[in-house]
Amino acid sequence: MTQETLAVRSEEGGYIRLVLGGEIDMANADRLGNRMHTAIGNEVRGVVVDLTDVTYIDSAGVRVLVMLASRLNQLRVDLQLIVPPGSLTRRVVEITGLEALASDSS
Amino acid sequence: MSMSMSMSTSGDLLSDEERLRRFASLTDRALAYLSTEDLLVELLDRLCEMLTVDAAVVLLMDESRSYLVTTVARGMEDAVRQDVRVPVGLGFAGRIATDMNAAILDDLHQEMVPDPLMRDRGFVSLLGVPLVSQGTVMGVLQLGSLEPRQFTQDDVQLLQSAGDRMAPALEARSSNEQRSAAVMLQRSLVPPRLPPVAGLSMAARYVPGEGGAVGGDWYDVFTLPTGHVGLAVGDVVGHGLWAAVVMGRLRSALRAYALSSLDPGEVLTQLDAKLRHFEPSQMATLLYGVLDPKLERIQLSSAGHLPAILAAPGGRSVDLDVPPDLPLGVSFGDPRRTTTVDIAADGLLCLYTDGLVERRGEHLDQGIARLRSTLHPGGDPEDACGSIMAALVGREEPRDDIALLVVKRELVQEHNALVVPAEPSALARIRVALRRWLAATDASDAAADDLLVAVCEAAANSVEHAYGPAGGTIEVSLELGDGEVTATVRDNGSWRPARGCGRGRGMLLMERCSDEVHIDRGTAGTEVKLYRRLWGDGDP
Repeated sequence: MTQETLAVRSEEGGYIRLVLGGEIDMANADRLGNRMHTAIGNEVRGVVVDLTDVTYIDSAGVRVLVMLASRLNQLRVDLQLIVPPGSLTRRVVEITGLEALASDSS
Repeated sequence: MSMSMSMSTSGDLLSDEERLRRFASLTDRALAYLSTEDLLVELLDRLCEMLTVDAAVVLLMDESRSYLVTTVARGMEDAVRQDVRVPVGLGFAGRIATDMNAAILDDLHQEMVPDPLMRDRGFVSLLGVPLVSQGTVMGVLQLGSLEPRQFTQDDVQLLQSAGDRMAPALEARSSNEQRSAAVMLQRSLVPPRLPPVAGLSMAARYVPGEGGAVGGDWYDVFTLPTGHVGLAVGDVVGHGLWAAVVMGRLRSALRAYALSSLDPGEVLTQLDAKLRHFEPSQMATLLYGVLDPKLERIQLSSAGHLPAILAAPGGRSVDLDVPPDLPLGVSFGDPRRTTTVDIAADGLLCLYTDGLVERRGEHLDQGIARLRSTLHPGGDPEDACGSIMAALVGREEPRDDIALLVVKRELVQEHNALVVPAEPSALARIRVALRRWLAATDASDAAADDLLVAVCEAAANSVEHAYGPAGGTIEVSLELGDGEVTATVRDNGSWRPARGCGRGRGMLLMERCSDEVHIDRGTAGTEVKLYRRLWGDGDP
């Protein structure tokens, strides 16, 4: 069974950081998507999704990130992805065109 | 036999003839053919009839010797079903057990004897004798009458004779029960079949000690959700049922803690705390190791256990240098240490308990040295177990029980295959197998990552599109060629178009992460072939 972790941290200026870990695939992507949406309250001004500890992500995981990005865009909430260079996650993010959202660190 | 039984409290004195008839009834040869259970019931029935009482009951000491437990009863069977207990030292039966003397009570209601067993059931007059085996009280045999009556000394003698007949049978029953329970427990907890793990082969042995006595030795192999593999060999101090029970508890607790931490030192720290709290005064040694998902290295923690032996290719067998911490159950809660050891492909790892290497009049080191010289790299674990048992046990009956576990990391295979159910949860299993297979090749990290992504996207397609609600399977195979890998993902379903939107990314990832993709959608299913060079990163 695919296992993910999610930790939520408050940051300055109304930002929150969602720290993801473990693996994300078809088996847990929807559940993780719901957990992330629930973690983002109405008062939040910006979201940082930290994928540094993610060891595997597939197209189902990418879909969840795209849906999150589009929802936050409607709400005028900033979104930033942290994806370490040279990682499997980086490669998947680049191929699927999510690069625009991604930075190496923050 | 004299007639000077005037000491009897009152009641009619018996004729010699009647007395003989009574004793004959207890020594009837036909009784010898009954099972212990039937013998007890038959004797209780005969006692009720001969002494014209309403109930007869056998109470046995519990393990802690603090309670008498109603075990067999006639005329008050409900007491057995309700598990009625009498504290040793209290009540009518409780006092017989401590005094080791027969007792008579003419009228229970005249005496303020606390007796949860007899008073609540309306009994008035009682007679009881201790059941003694090898000088120790093992229980009480007791009669009860609903009408007031006065028991005679003849009655006491008859009951004591019945008790003396029962005691050895009860003793044998108790030790037989314990032995077979211990054997059953050991068999269910130390199964001869180990779980299949891709990339590992393994074999194990368990032999009871002297006289077929099982003890607290065990071995265990389990996979974890992360793809790690847990290996354990342990030894609970002591023998018999209780040691086997404590072993069973430790085994389950180890598996539970293994799920929440991958660090063996941390797992044993928690296991130690659990044992000290819930089973104080118990002690166990244990060697616990966690192989990483690629099976390249093992992390070990030792709770006072003998060293594992590693036979690495091209070298001699060595004791693994894992500094042992104190056994479980005797430490002071200090954090335990974890040691990491590399395991080469084709290497054999051997874990065992002291029963294997301990011989009378021989130093422990000699036994371990003999074990080292018997273990060779590259062999088959089943054969290795066979030669180890032949060399170290031979024709001798082992004094202590023996547990032995041999695990081998297999060489790189040119062809690897895995069949999984077409379900989302199978994707994690496919990744574990792929990482393991690819680790054994000289594929670059980038190439391995690409193959992982491409193969899993193909498998995810099969999960989503190949089958209806009845489901099916997916076969994943990996063929090693010259500097490249061919991965095949096959299902037997009928392809149907994707539902929902935004699903084109899977195909995109598959194409970009491979050098070449061939998709064959036939009537018998879909086959996806992915080619990827082992080196070079980024897009081809």
